[in-house]
Amino acid sequence: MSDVDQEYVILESNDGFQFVLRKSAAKVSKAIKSMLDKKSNFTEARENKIVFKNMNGIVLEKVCEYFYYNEKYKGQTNVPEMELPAELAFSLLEVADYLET
Amino acid sequence: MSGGVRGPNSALTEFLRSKGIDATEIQSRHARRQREAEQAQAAATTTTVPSTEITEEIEETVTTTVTTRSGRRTTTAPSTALVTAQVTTAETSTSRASKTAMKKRKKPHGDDNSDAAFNPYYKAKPLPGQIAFCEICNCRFTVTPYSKSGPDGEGFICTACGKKTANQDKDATKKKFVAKKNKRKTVASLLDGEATGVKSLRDLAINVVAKHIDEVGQVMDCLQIGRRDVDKICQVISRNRALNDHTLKLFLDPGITRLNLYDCSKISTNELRKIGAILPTLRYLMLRFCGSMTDEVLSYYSTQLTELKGIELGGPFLVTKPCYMQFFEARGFQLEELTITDTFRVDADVISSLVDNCPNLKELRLRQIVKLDSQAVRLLTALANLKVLEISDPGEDLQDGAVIDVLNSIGSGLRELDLSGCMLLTDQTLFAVRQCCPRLNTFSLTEADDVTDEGVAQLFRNWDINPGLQYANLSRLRKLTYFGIEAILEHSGRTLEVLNLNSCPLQPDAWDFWWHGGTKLERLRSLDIGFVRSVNDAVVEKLCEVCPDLGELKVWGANHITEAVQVPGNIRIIGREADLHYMHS
Repeated sequence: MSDVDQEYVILESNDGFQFVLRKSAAKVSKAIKSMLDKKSNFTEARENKIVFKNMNGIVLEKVCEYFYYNEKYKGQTNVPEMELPAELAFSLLEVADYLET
Repeated sequence: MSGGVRGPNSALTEFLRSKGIDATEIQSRHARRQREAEQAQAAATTTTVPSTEITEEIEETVTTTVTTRSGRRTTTAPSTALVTAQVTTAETSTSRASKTAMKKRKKPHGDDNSDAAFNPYYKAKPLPGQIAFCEICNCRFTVTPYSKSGPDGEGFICTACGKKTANQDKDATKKKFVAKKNKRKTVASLLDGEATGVKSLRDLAINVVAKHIDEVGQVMDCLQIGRRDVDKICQVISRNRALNDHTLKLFLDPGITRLNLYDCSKISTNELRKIGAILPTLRYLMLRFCGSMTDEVLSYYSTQLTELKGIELGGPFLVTKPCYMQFFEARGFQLEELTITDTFRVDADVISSLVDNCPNLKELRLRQIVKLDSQAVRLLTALANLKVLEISDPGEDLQDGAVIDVLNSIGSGLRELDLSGCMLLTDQTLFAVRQCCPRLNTFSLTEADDVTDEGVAQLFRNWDINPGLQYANLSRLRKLTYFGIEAILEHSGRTLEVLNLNSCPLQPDAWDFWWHGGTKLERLRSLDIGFVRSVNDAVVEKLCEVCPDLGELKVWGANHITEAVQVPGNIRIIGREADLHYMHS
């Protein structure tokens, strides 16, 4: 169980959707990285679960998709551009600012 | 062409097709056919072809031809795949008579000689509708116009084998095409100054918003999105030339204190005026390319924008002299930053009014003001609080005397001095800079033909009162060859972040100083060595060693730099000639 804890983190949206992500991917976001810092002793770090009050499931899903996209292509050139749905652009922009990604 | 079903044809193909079936060709084919018929001992004279097979073959070949060239051309000859197969397949060592003729016709790019199949010199092949034997599997099949040539370019292959080879060809061409496209994309993004690699979520979202800016219905509330992002969106849509009366409304969020509009050329006079009505709390206003601004707008601003501290007007050529004076009288006292560019209406009178009414100015930029002459510049001596002074590309004669006077009176406070394009300045100005500007960290002096190598050297050599420049632009100083650059590096090598030496005729041995001088340029981020002829691969490689932090290296016109140059991955080389080929191919 503790191994799984070390490797994965749960992100929860404000409407109750939970996404289980590899930590390495989630740490693309500087904000999440500092939340999960063990030294900080934040609740998030202890429980390995972060609840985002400012994102619904749809937005958070896209954000998770971006985390994996970023992790996959990190350090490469000729990266295919990730498609974002136009209707989410503003919410994602707001969230990106918050997550520092 | 049975059934009259054809893929899309080019005019040339059509023309050659008609050429291919002329009398002599038919005759030679006929003779050959007879010979082959004897050899094969096949009674192939009266066979009728099942129509389903033909249509199937036609469909198959049409789809292959279209996909192999998808995105490149819309005109596709039905025989493209056929020819591709001929040329790309390796020739085996058979000694047929027509092989040499075949070789002669071969072109370097297999995908482009779609018309070769109709070359009259080519070995005759069975006509469509006839029976032939596959060159690969030896099975019996009916020839159609879409049948492909065998591996040696001889004879035809059957549909089943054709499908197999078509896939191979398709993969090969596709790979080539993708590789080329990727390279072109990388080069294009380099030239656009974009970072290659993964974009941040923020940038991705901003691009999407900018793309759909016409559909955005509400004011972009910067409390939610963030001021920085709204500004970035404005930059992106300005670049796309999409900032107009409609999209402007999205940026007019009442309560903001800073508004930057990067391209106002599509904004009407009336909408510009509205900025004053909607945003009375503005402190900083930047309007670039505001050609539609009139006297009425500026005087409305002067009554309306009571909080104004800084304003930038780019190209306000309709605004007249009295209006500037009236604006300075009304708002001058509170102004701290002022930028006016590209207008012929600002002259000594306007500058005089500016100096009288704006004593608190800290930043003054006058760019491409046609009537700025020595007399007008000399008036600036009274602006005692100035920290940033830019007088670039003045149209009239601007001589040393006026600049030296200004430096003598206010030089001690200056942090930034930009004299780009003041062509008449000489070493005397440099001497004044040395004497008067201890706090300077940003310095530009370009295109001054009379400035000598020794003059630049004397400015920087033992310039102890100045702790070092962070930004230096000395491009197009046509006499800067060796000693000047040596002195710059010795004085500011440790502090420089941006250095522009574009078009300076640096001698090959000037580079020796970069590595033998012992100074490492630890902070240098950006270096422009375009049009410096002595730059080559070895110099660039050494530079990368000496400048550990270098991120951007501009090498336009330095054509000794090749693709083989070895640089660390974090350094972006912009403008290399070898890369530019990809843009045009």
